[in-house]
Amino acid sequence: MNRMHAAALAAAGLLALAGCQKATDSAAFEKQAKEDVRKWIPAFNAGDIDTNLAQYAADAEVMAPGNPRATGHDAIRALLEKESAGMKQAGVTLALNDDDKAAASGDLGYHSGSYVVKDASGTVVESGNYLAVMQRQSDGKWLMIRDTWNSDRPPPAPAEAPAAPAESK
Amino acid sequence: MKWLNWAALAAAGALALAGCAKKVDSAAVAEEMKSATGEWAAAYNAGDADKIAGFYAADGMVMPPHAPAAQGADAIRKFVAEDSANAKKGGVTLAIEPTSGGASGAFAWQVGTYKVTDGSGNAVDTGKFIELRKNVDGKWMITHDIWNSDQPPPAPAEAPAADAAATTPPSS
Repeated sequence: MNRMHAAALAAAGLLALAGCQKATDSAAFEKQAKEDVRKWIPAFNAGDIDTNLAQYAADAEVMAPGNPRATGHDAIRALLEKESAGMKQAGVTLALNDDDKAAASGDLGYHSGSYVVKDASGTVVESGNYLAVMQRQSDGKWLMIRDTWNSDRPPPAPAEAPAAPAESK
Repeated sequence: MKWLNWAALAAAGALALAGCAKKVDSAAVAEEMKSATGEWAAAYNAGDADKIAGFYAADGMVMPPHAPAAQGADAIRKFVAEDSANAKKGGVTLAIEPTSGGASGAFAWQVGTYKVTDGSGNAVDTGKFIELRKNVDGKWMITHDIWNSDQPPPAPAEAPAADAAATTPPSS
């Protein structure tokens, strides 16, 4: 009888565990997500896309403005290589503002903040916002599954429009 | 001894439960988000900014392309009211198609595509979005909402005008 009780209770305990999820350490996630993005930026500027790719899940989607969605590592590599080379050619670099926020719950986390693009003299020529969704993988590692950003500045005036005077900014 | 065993096991069970949260039905939440997105698009096309503001958490944030981020119900309502009025004036309608999503713990996410169509049914813009939601008292409220166009921005004014551009009206 004693044994039966124990077995029944152990089974009940296992069932309870299967239907529930371990608490997530959101502060530890936040620290890691913020560290990750601060490796992502210099890697992107240097064209070291392998380092960027290591932060994405195999089936991740990067949703860049002016581009179709890039799904999976091969497509993401092609997109990031193109964007990184374009910025290098234009003589500009990407930098982060320190206003980013990150939190996690269950196996999901997010990381969001704002960025700037600077020219060689350090002048900010572009700015925008980003959002990444991260998921805890089976090995416990947090990787990005979706990543997007956009410019918060007005689009460049179309070619037909007269060039705006510089002071209108 | 029998009772001691009982008590120990009950205590262990209670501890196990305290250290964990109930697992979320990810597929069910994804379905719920899909239908909410249909309502979002219908409200946008109807210019119902109040209804749209109601989909967001109190500290929810909209990050539209080419505009500053709008945080909180008032700022979101103002952005949506202006943006949907512009769409109506331009004679275009918005359609949104969720493509993936999921939930875990108190967070949920959804990704999809959008299409803006003019009065004759031609697509004038296509793009994609990510929204993040959190469980607020049992309701999945949007905390982050961001999207962008698939189309490259118009050529800057400094560039020589392309032949095709001469016949294209400036986009709004």
